[in-house]
Amino acid sequence: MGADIVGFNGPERYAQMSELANGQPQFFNVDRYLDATEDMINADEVERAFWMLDNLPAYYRDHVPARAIEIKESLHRQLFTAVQYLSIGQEIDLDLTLSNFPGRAQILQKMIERLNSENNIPHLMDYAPGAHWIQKCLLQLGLRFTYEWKGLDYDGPPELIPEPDAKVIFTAFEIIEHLSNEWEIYQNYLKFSRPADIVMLSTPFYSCPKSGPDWRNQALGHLRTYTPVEFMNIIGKMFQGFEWECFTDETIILIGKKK
Amino acid sequence: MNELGRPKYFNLEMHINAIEGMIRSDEIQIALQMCDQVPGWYRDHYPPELEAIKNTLYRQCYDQIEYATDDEEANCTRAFGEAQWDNGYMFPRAEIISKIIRKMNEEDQIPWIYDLGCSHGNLPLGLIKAGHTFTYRGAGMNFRIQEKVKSWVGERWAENPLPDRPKILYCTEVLEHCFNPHDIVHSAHKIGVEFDVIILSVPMYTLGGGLPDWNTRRIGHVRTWTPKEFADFADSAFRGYQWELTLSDSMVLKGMRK
Repeated sequence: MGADIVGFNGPERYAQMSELANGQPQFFNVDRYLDATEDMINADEVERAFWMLDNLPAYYRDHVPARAIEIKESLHRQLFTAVQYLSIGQEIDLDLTLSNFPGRAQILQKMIERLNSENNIPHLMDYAPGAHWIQKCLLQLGLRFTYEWKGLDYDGPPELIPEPDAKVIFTAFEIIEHLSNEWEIYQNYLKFSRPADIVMLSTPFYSCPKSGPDWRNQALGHLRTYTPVEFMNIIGKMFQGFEWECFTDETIILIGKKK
Repeated sequence: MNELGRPKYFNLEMHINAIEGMIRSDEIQIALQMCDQVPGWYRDHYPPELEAIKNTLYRQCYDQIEYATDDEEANCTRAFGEAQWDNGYMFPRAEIISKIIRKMNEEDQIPWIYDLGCSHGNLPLGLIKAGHTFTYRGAGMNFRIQEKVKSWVGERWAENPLPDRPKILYCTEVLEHCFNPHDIVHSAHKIGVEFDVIILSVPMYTLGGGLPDWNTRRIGHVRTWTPKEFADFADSAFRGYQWELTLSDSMVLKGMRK
């Protein structure tokens, strides 16, 4: 920027400008605006909260309130990055009793049961599997499948080569809302180097019910929420040539079958 | 209504209040975006209050047709335009352009001014009153005003600059009305003139503290500018100029071709 800033008739004129003439909005309550911003965080809309912090009226863009700076710093502090996600799965005490088997896992279970009954041993490509709870639960149910995965952890279940003629299933559950770049899902799908017959993805149905009001003392992982249409739009752009079904419980579940 | 996924700790009323505060601060574009930036549940169960705000804004905001056909603006008088030169309305841009033209006249130069967004003709009327020598072309969306200004300026009106005369682009208090500020850049470049001097101005931040009565009055300003945003925009839109920024109620950028 090549502009020299000067006060007309010298700095004295600038200093004499009235309160109204300094451009400060008189009908804008910055504290209430920041309250609304914090509500956005409580609703799992962290990206939108950042946007609100960057889009104050111009006067406050140049005179950023201390509270806005504090919120931004706290957000950055609480947000999970790859460093915090690394090894998080190893700290989870897994419940393998299947008592809380969520809808997405039940759909996958039925799909593998049906394939097994047709003497097909499907191959599961699990992206961001966390503590591999789905794989462990499905094994506990006695289902037959081969498994490979991509995640941040170094250790995990051994990867098995798919059987000939195995149906290939790609899963990416409850991950898109954590990703700054949603397309990492598709990038990792391609890195598996096996075209999928079926893809299954899920994300929370709007705001996650576990989100609480005390965001400063919570680890923040979700960057945004999705409506079913928004979720379908982005996933449909990634995975082309699939026929889609959508289910909702506390999550939105998309199942794409290769046409 | 299915409450599944509805955020429990999001106060819609507070969000609406924040949006209205934004409108009252001249930040119409941001306010409209905020209307769409609600949590996912509300994007699928869209609050009627937000729909009402958007519709009020669309109704109250000047659009291009209104700028082009506004009768009240078109009925402005020469006396009204002249008065704006004297009554502080044009401070400090009037003083800045006056100083530039005075210096040019002292050096026996007669500049050609392209007044983009010529409003009520306050620039040429003021310059005539101040005794400056210049030629002039005004461009605005309201054709009736433009014709009036043309008649007021008389023989000074010149569609094109003469060779070897300094060429000035003057575009003040327009950018804050533009949903796309690059419209101004397009207009400036369309006439195919390389300007020696460029004068631009916008209100510094929110003009006059803002609009408490936004839902019952006409709205012209759709955004505000910080000094840095303004200078960065000018520098990227018009390359090859040395800029000087004057801060006042209205910020003025003077660009001199390097």
